[in-house]
Amino acid sequence: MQWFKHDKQSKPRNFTRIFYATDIHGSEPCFLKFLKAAEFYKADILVLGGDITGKQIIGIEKRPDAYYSYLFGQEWTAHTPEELAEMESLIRSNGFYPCVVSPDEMKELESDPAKVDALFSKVMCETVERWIHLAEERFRDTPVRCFISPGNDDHFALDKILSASDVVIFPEGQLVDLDGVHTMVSCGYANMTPWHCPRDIEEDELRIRLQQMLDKVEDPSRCVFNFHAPPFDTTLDDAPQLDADLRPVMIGGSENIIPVGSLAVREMIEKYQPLVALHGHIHECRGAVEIGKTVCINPGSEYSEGVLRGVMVNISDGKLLSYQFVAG
Amino acid sequence: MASNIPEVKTAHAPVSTQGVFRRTASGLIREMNMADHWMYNVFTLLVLTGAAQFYVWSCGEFPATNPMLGLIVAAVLVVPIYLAYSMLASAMPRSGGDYIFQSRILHPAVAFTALFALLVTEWYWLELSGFWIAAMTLSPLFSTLGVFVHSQVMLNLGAWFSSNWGIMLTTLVTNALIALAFLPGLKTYIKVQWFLFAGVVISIVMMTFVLLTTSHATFVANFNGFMSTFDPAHSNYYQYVIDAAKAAGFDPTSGGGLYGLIGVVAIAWFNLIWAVWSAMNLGEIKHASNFGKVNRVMQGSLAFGLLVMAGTMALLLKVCGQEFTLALGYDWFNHTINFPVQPYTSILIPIMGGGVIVLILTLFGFLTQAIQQSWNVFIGSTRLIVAMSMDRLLPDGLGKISRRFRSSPVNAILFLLIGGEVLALVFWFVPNLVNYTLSTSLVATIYQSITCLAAAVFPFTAKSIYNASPISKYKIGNIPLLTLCGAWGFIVGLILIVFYLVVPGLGLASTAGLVGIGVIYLVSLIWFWVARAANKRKGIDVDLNFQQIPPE
Repeated sequence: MQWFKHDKQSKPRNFTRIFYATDIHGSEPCFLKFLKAAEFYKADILVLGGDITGKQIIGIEKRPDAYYSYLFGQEWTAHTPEELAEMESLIRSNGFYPCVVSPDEMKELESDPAKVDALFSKVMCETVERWIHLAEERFRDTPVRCFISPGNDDHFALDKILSASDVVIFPEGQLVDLDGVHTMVSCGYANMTPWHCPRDIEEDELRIRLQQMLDKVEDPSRCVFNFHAPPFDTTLDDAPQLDADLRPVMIGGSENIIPVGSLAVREMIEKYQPLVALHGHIHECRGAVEIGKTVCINPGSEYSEGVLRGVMVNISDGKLLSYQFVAG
Repeated sequence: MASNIPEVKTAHAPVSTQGVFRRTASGLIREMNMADHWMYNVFTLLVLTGAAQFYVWSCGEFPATNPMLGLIVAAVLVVPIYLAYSMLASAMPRSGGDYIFQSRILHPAVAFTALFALLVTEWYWLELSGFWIAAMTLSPLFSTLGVFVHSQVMLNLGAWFSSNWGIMLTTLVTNALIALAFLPGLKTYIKVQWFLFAGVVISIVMMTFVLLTTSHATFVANFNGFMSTFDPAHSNYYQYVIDAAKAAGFDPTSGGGLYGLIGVVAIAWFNLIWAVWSAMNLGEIKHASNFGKVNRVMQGSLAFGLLVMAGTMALLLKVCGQEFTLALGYDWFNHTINFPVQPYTSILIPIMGGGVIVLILTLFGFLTQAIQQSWNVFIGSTRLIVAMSMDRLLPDGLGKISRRFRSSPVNAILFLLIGGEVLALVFWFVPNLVNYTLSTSLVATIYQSITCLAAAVFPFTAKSIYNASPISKYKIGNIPLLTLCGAWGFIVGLILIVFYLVVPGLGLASTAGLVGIGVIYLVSLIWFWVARAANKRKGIDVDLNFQQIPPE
């Protein structure tokens, strides 16, 4: 319900506004909102900070009488094409991939992990291709610059799709210009997680990767760090400690919360003191902290609720003017 | 579409159950599981301390109304409200609960005003916790021990804990200790909660056992014997309670009918509605987005609370006698008798039991519940402060999460503590101010009603979020179930608000009380607009925090 009127911009701005969101994990509404954010928040630059692909496929079994799926702990049915479309939309809204299969195909998938792997490849790549196409339609011939980088959960298969676009910029591992005054370096790799995700690497390797990229930065005070992993021990990185079986480590009947961010990322922020550091990875650790002069921000993620969490960052001439968390 | 799709290799085999296929990817786990959540909700219903006030208050003010019926009606009225809250939680499982719901669905000014006023009254709740520990637990403990062991020192100590000094100092110390204990964050509380809950269960079991095994004659004899220690002039204190009430105009046939029923419901609301408080820390509850689980937890705590309160009330009436119980409530509420110890269940049960073990086990639960209540204020309120601070309506620093005390908003804790301590001192200097604690019911009902209104309009004003949530499938006819439950809660809330405003027996129908509440709301509203303007000057448009981006 919009009761406020937006102020009209009568004079040109003397700052650059970045809208940063991250960890949308396949949520279609979140991606569509991300595209809309440039206009809605009057952002000059959009940055999607990684983990863009979903984690689950919801199989929709096509039986003679209806389509069946299992979602939110209960069975859902669709009898008409319209109901099926509604079911697929609901699945996509929650960051899952719908996939219509026959009962035989469902059995094969349930018994053959390799087939599930192949299916994931297919649906993730198809989805990202479709999204990139939407972004191209939206931003071609506009001044908005749209950066989409991968996160530790994203497979390398996506890199080719993301880098093929002539509108969307794939900034991974590069030093890119933002507005003629400021630059940005991006890294979707993260320190090792218990899940051993595609872009999980050891701290030493991460340190080398970051250092190689930062060697190219002439003026860190005008540079934005777009690092998926948050710096270690900053409250942007709190998560339950897990054992080898991925179960929470309990101490005194309660989960043991520990910092899980990257030491290498922290070291680089401490060493280079960039203009601002943008992070994701830990969805529930929304917040901003300062490391020296650098403000490090994790806008968090609520992709499964269809809510796009983000942060607007206003920068001008090497200064961070302000930042504002938003959730739309 | 992809024409040359590379193979995805996962480190572990994908998981499949009922057609749901997962790949290996990182994920987070919230701290409070459903058992913790249920216990937390039962605590918020105040089945011992708050209930002790219900027994005397409802009987004294609406004697012609069956209090058990009032409790049952209140519970029935609450069921759809819990449904609405569970559905909202499922759609927006974020810390800050009601503030998030209202600001995103209705308007931030409405949300901030309603919830900032609630924050102010949370200081009153801290005082109430101190009062319950001092006057409802420690005073009966030492007074009864004094009688049992014939110790004047104990009797004096019991009297001191029910004095203004005793209540003030107990409140100051309790607030400080709980704030200190909360510094390490929610996980410490979750560990302690099991111990605190065990105390409540032991107390309930003990109370039920004593009530079931004590005859009316035994109670009368024990009660008279106990009270004669404090007031030798009235050897039959039992009859004195009844006579004093009658002499003061007590009419057991008054406060009945629909008026009386709504009145008792309004008092029971003080207990049975409060499972909604857990919405403030939805961001830390596992499965908060699972409507079914959250709803079962909320309704389950309501059923437990209703059973305990209605059962205890019925047994009290049987053992103590209806005429006496009603008169006792009247004397308590109208200060007809200057009771040497407050006549709550925390003293009536030990008197019935007549032994030190019954005394200690009964009061242990009252103590743990009062301690939890103080902790509860810090838990929910700090989450609310952080949410408001994130939206830049409260100063940034207030919501900062401490790096030293992980996951703990230290400044918010200090803010609450300082306010609570100041108010404790004010209460000491101006004792009558304690009457304004009753304003908490009005302020709470206002904010809860607004949340219900938000629930009612949610499917129409925030369609994209609503449609993306699993609750969108629940409809009656073509009307969303959320709309029906929200509208129900809003209407019930409005009726209760009118009662709080006009019925003197509910404690608010006084000029000073109403002015006080009005000032709180006015200050809250002004604060919102000032904060909004101040942010605007810094180039921050806070309005954007509350608006949904249309996905198309």
